[in-house]
Amino acid sequence: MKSWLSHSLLALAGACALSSSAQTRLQTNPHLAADGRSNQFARAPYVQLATPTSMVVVWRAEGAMTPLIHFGRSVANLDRVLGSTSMVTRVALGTNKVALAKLAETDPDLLRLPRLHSAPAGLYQYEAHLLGLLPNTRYYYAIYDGEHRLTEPDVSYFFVTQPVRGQSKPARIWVVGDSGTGRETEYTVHSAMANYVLKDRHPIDFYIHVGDMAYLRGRDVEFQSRFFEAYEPTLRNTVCWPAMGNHEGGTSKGTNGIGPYFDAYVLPTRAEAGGLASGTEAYYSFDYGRIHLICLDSHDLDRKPTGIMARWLKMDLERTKADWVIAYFHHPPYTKGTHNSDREKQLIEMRTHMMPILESGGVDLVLTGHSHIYERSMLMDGAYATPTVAEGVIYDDREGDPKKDGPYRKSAGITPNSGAIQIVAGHGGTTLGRKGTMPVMRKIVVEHGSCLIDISGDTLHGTMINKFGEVRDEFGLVKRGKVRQQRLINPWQPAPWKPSKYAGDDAFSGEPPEDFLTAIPKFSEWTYMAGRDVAGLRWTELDFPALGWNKGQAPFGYEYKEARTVLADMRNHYQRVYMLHEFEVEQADYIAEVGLMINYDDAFIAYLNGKEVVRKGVGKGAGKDAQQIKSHDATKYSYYPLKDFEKYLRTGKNVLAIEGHNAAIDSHDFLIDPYLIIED
Amino acid sequence: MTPVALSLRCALVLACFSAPSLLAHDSPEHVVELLSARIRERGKTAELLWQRATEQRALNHLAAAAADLREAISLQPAFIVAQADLGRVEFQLGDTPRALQTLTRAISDAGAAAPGLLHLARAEIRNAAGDFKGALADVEKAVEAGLPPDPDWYLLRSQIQLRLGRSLEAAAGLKEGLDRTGCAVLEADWIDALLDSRQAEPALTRIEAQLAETRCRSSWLIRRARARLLLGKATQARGDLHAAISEINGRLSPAHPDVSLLVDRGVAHALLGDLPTAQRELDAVRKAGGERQSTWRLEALLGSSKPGGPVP
Repeated sequence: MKSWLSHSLLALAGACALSSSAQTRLQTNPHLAADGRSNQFARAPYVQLATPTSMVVVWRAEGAMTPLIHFGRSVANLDRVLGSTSMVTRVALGTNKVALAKLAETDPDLLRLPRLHSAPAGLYQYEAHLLGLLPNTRYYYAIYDGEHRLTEPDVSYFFVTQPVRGQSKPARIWVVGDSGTGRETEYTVHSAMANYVLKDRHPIDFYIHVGDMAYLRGRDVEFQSRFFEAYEPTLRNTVCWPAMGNHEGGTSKGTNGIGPYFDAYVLPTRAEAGGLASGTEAYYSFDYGRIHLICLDSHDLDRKPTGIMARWLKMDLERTKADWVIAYFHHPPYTKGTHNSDREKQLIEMRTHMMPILESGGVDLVLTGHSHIYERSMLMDGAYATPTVAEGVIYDDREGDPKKDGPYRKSAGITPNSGAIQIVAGHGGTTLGRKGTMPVMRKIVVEHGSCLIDISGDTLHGTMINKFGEVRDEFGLVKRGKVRQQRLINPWQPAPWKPSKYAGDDAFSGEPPEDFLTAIPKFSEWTYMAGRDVAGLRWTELDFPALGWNKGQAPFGYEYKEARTVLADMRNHYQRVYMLHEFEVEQADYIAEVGLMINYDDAFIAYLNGKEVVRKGVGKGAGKDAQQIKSHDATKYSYYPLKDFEKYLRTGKNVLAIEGHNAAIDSHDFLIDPYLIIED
Repeated sequence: MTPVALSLRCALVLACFSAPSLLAHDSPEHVVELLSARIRERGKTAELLWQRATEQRALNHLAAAAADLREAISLQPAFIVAQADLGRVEFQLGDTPRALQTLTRAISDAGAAAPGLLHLARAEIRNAAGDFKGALADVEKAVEAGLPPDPDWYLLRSQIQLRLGRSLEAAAGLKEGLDRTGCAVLEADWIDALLDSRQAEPALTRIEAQLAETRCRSSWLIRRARARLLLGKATQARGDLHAAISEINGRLSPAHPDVSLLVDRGVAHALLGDLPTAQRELDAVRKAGGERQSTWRLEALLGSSKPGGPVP
């Protein structure tokens, strides 16, 4: 296989801008080189689609390889080997029609491989389906390219197969949502969980992500930098079972199962892991021992009871014989966090259409995200009205904390409409917020964190851990004997909360990515024009002939001691400065985000290759026509992601243009101190 | 992951490029505000208007969504996704003629290469409006245009075929869909279509297999009763129907009944010949907002006396 693939890569090299630029990108990326991760991988190995007798290991490489996976029950004896003939290979060939036509002539076999939707050209994804495994057994693995071992000899490259279906086995499930920012908080929430389970000596068995794992649009590069890199140590040995969020929905479509989300995951369509065949990866179910788990697509599929997803859900619930039923999806039926389930269609429909089916099917726990908050309900049933009220839908209004007032109780087995607990876990990393009080909630916490769900026999225990590793909520649910539920007419109600205007500006806009490269460093030399206005916007475009412009080192300004190009004549003479700086990008489709770090006084507009990408403090207009300039003091750097950068950023040369404005001609100070960063 | 045809991939790449360029994450109201600000700053573009319409739809502000979509299409007449969305929004607004007009114009403008997406949108609306022949023609055209094997359109096509009395074709199409996707809903509908086309024995084999596997048996007991009625085993059928009703009674929440269970119970009563009770179930389903798509078989039974209909 290697020979023809290598040959094909050579054919592709010109069109796909692979080879040297990609190599340089890797070599110059300090994150990939320094932190001990295997930099041979474009996407480090991760495990998927666990069953009692099989596992899928997925990884990506830049260019073709001779893929081999060695695996076995002892780290010192990886005695089984799987080669490319037993793997699914997907490839990203780009969209260059000329290159593809040439490839069709020279190497038609390459064109026959399944494609990655929108990954950077030249990437190969290998999916190794390891079959014939023993249930509930730990296996170690190593990835090779021919003779060359790519994964370091490390005991963390392992997986544990699922227990036999129907056999009880304690399970610990990690639940996180709305985390895919690539910012520090995502990492701290993850490490808080990892430290907690380490201290507890009880690792997680699998992981549920309730959506929004790759902001802002679920692009392939966003998946890489904001999901796979953030969770890599966990993903290499623990299966993540995902639900698609609205942000993944920006590029992936549940209606046809195509997009980066569907490239990233290998999910059951034919009940490979138990449950009932859905025929699609957009929604699915699986079993873990005596726990039945159901994932729904709340984003872009028909949510009506007559729709195929609802009909599948009903059939799936009717079939399961598990002890526990857990459902998860992105849009919460009950929330007053950053979203309001009394007003938004997807949330209302999940409540009015899906919850009756789930509850008549005996669901115990519903896990969602979307709303950036932690909300955990009382034991409830039948709350389908809009607006949601607590009266008559709560069975047990206590805290349900096993260490305080004792766990909630239900009858053993699956009993219809016997009460479920709702958890909104949209607090995994992005900007938090709250709009009000959802009356069915027992615990509302506006802190970043994630949840652990422990199930052992007839007992479920839930724990919310914040990003500092502190336990912020605990509840229990015991299913034992026969419990007669009674609806409470006047249940306990959470204290009202005074709604405020939206909590944040742009999500995580004030926080730069965790890992970034600097495209235009601090204190760079810029080309600038001061004392004279520039007509139109031609000056913001690439290759503008800046004749008569000056060169100067940032920061630009006066009265600020940090100014290195001092505009001593600006006060009382002119109000604007125009600045240009070119920068190179080796492969634009690898870039997840481009952002401006800037300390400014009073206002500015930034352009990327002639297109406006950030505007702060300028009400309307630009250049000499700018109006409504707001006063702003330069006290610290602020971070602004460049809007729609992916439309304007080019492979090769680019130009960033900034026009800095003073609020008044006699303003006593002025500063523009920018640098540009890139997340790849 | 399901590999799909290259042509479809290309179509999807196109669709995804024109998909909403989502703004910073907050509530749809906030995103609408941000998009409105952006439109004020940069002027109206088809994509920005379409993005705002998408958020308006999430808020159920359908009139505002329709207005944005119309403007988006006026700026970019070949904006296929916006055209399909506009047709659906107009239908949701209750303006079926206008929805059909929108989609028909879009299909006509696209000429022979009209994407399956538009035909499928029109098929859904024609089906809901009762124009089954037109709907079927649209699904067929959408399939010709290269739809991947998706359970959704197999289901839609079979539902239309059944409404047209073409149960043999429906059964064949559903079997093909089942083989290609494995979808359990297609299997259930395939078995129903076998029963509709009076193929009781192959249906019964499948039904017995399902009954052995499933925890809640009512829907399969009703199917077995239908098969047994076709085979002349009325007593056994009656036993199945009583067992189904008993199970449904235990599952139904009196305050908030699952509509699909009410439909099943109505069908069971109808098959038992208790038409007044079946009619009451149908009324309850309608009161609870049950769609015609879920009730047509019950409605048909209420007006039927053929074998496979009520137990004699």
